[in-house]
Amino acid sequence: MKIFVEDLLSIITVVPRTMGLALLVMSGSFLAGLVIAAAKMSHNKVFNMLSRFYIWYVRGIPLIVHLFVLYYLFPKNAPVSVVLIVTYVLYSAPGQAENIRTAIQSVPKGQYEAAYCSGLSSFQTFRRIIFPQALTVLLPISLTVYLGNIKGISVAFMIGVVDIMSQAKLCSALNFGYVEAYLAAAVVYWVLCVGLTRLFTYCEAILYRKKGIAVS
Amino acid sequence: MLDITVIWKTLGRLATRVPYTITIAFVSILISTALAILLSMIKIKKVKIASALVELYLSFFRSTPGLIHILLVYYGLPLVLKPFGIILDASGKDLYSIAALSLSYAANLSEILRPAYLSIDKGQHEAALCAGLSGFQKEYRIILPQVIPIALPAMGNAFIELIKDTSILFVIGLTDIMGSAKNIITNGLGINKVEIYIAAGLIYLVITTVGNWGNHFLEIKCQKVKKHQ
Amino acid sequence: MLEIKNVHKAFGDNQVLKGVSLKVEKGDVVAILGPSGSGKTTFLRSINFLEKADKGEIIFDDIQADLAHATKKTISLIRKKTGFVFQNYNLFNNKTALENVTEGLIIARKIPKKEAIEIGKRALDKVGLSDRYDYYPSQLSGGQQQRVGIARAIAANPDVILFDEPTSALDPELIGEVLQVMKELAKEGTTMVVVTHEMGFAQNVANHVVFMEGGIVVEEGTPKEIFSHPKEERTKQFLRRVVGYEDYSI
Repeated sequence: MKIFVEDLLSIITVVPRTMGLALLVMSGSFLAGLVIAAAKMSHNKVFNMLSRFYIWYVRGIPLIVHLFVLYYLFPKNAPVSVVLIVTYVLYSAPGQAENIRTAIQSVPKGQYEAAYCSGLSSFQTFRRIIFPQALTVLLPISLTVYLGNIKGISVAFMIGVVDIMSQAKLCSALNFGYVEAYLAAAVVYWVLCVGLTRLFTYCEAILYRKKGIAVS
Repeated sequence: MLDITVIWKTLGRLATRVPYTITIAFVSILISTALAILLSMIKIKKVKIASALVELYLSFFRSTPGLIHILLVYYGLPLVLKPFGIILDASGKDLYSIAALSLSYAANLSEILRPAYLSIDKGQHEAALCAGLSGFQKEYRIILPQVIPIALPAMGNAFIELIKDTSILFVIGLTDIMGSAKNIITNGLGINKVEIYIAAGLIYLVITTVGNWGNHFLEIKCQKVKKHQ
Repeated sequence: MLEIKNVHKAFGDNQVLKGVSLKVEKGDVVAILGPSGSGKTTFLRSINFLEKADKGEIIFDDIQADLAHATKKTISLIRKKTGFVFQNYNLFNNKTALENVTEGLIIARKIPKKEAIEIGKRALDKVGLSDRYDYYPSQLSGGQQQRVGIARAIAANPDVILFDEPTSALDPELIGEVLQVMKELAKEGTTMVVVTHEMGFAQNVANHVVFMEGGIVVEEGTPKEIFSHPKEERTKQFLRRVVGYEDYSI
């Protein structure tokens, strides 16, 4: 029990760092996802093929393999956290592209037509009518993605990046309490996920009440 | 520069581990499907106490990474079973792997099965009861045949993800595809790491590509069945 | 033959049925009328336990049961003695028209498959679907689906068939074909309880009309009594509102 508490306290110190890493990954994969979504939806055959090839290659191979390959291909002095972020962004971009597409396509066609008929340009339509509505779909998905990232970067310990998982591993190596360390890590992940979900639902309700949008 | 001959040779060696890896994945998906059906049933029928426990189970396994599951099972399971007189040693790595994957994917799969079941119109249940079918006959003959084509493609995807997830099992020393890649690197004193990992990647790529073809075929079949339903 | 006594049912705070009773004799065609929200569908559904009443009693031939606490066995027994036709058909999506009819015969009533198929075909012939045996519900029009629904209900030769607004989900041009089938069933002496908005059917086909509102039976009697000489003010109001109803094909 003493070991468990010690481990827990030690792991909690790296929570902000883990959350930061996951946030960087999410921002990066959102941008990369936009590019892929655009390529996928474009009528240009070359872009289309390229995006399909990319998705096939990246999603067909486990994250951990990509991580090792890139780790050894990066220059020796590159920070390990950069290797991790780049790998994870490239790996999760196709999923993000799919999310973006789902969100945009969730807005009924009539909304575009009504906007055009009101004299809005296509950029104005997207910016003022479509995007705010797509956001109500995209926000809850983004939370799932973020929580997924927090869990997903647990592979980072294999290349020596500090996060919740690697801290647990470090603890277990110091005091040989394997079960205690991983249990402590599990509790931290659990509380973090449940807590963030609660917080998100709360904020969402407030936001929607303010904006008068029905919760989807 | 990459040494193509090393990649080629490694491919041959790693390919021999494919059946083993697929077997572990397959047994895991079978057990996790059975578990997921049980979990979904408890939640749908709102069984007292049990459904609160299921909620807890789902919340835990969905909030924690797969790596934690495998390490907890590996280090924790022998401690849990010891008081019952069952002594586990560290050698049955495949059993630990299957146990961890099954527990982990049961949570994922129940999030596919439950919504699929609940998507069936209430009227189908009522009509079956009015036709005089018993509860079990209703589920088996009317509801399940409609749930399966909805759930199957998503289950197929989960299976492919599960195969990819076997790649972390080397952390407990399982000699699957990734595990033997690691061994080859250790035995070669760390040379040609990149080539060996690329070879492993290519093997996974072949498996997932074939898997995706199969799943695509399955999806078309399910679509056809759903169309006339 | 069938008697239901003093049915009460509430959904939360909303008291939907406040003591409804009904008596049905063999060969009766009972039409239950009333505005939406009057509780008529809930009442019909509580007869074969699709809705569990809070209070009430059912006497069906030699079976006598409490609607609120019936055993599984009694429920199954009563369901086998009744047929039910749903508002939105509820055909089994994974079965053909013929399989929809035979499912209950083979599985629930243990009739040999060959014989069940014979019965099923005869039932479908009767509703004018002899060319649609192997069609799936999605390949049939609404009117055809509802006729399969009726075939499914009559196939087992139940003592009474309950109809829950059988035409209200149909396009106007398809209502006639379903009413026609129901009219023929009535002519053959089939016992039916029909919740409906079709005034023409109630007036011309039914031999007993029940008017419900606010969870109680306001008035009941022969079609002539209800339509020509209603006693209650609420019945009069209701009939005045629905005057100008369209009478399809009857």
